[in-house]
Amino acid sequence: MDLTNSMSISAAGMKAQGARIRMISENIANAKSTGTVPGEDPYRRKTITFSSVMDRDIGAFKVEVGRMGLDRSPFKRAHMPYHPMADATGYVNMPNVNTLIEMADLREAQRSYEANVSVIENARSMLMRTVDLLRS
Amino acid sequence: MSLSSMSIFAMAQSKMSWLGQRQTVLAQNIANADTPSYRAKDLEALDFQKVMRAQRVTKLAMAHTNEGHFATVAKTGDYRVTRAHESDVYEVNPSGNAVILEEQMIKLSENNVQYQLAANIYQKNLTMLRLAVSGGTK
Repeated sequence: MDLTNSMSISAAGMKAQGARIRMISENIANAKSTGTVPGEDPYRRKTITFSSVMDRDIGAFKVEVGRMGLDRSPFKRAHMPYHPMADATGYVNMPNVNTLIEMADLREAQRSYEANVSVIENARSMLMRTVDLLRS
Repeated sequence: MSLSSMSIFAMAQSKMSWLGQRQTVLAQNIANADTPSYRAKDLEALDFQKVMRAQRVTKLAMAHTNEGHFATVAKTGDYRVTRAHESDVYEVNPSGNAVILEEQMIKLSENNVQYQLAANIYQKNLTMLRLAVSGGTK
């Protein structure tokens, strides 16, 4: 049925946005995670991709989480000679996470998530209205 | 006699089925609001003349004389999904995504209102039938 199909499509959208929010929180939590030995690479920022996949059961395009990737941009170098992970020149490799970008991304994910929630609420009210035809 | 042989019920029904299908398309657009190179879709508009014509033309169904015969019931309308034209889209993300969330939300609430309307029409006519059957005495 159409309305329940629409709910399952929105649920897939919420799942994808949820995975995105999880990845963003991982990035933010590790924004200051250096390596464990001097000179070792710190935490590398993760990225996520979405793709729309045809669901043959309901004949519509659902969204699915594609590959999780790593951001290949260079690490930030901070001059902290007394840091336990500093190399011979006194520099520490810091993760290539920009907290501002992550926050902006988080907001976008949240907005899309809420849009999916309101689609479900909408479909639900239409469904309930149909059921209400039985009463009168 | 079934309810759908009365044109007002059949029309409300076809409107509701169109709106249900449109809801699926809109849900799809919103779920894919962040998918690269996805362009918003919509359902082809419900054509009033076409609906009226479908009501007026009495279809002569072939008689079933054998269990092995094919069903000749008219198929319920499946509406065509159209993709937004390049010129209609006024904002495309760097990722190639062209879903405007606000526009989709407006369509969604419009869809909901029209559904309520069709359901109300259905219910009102049902109430009128009940009144006729009961003869005005409650």
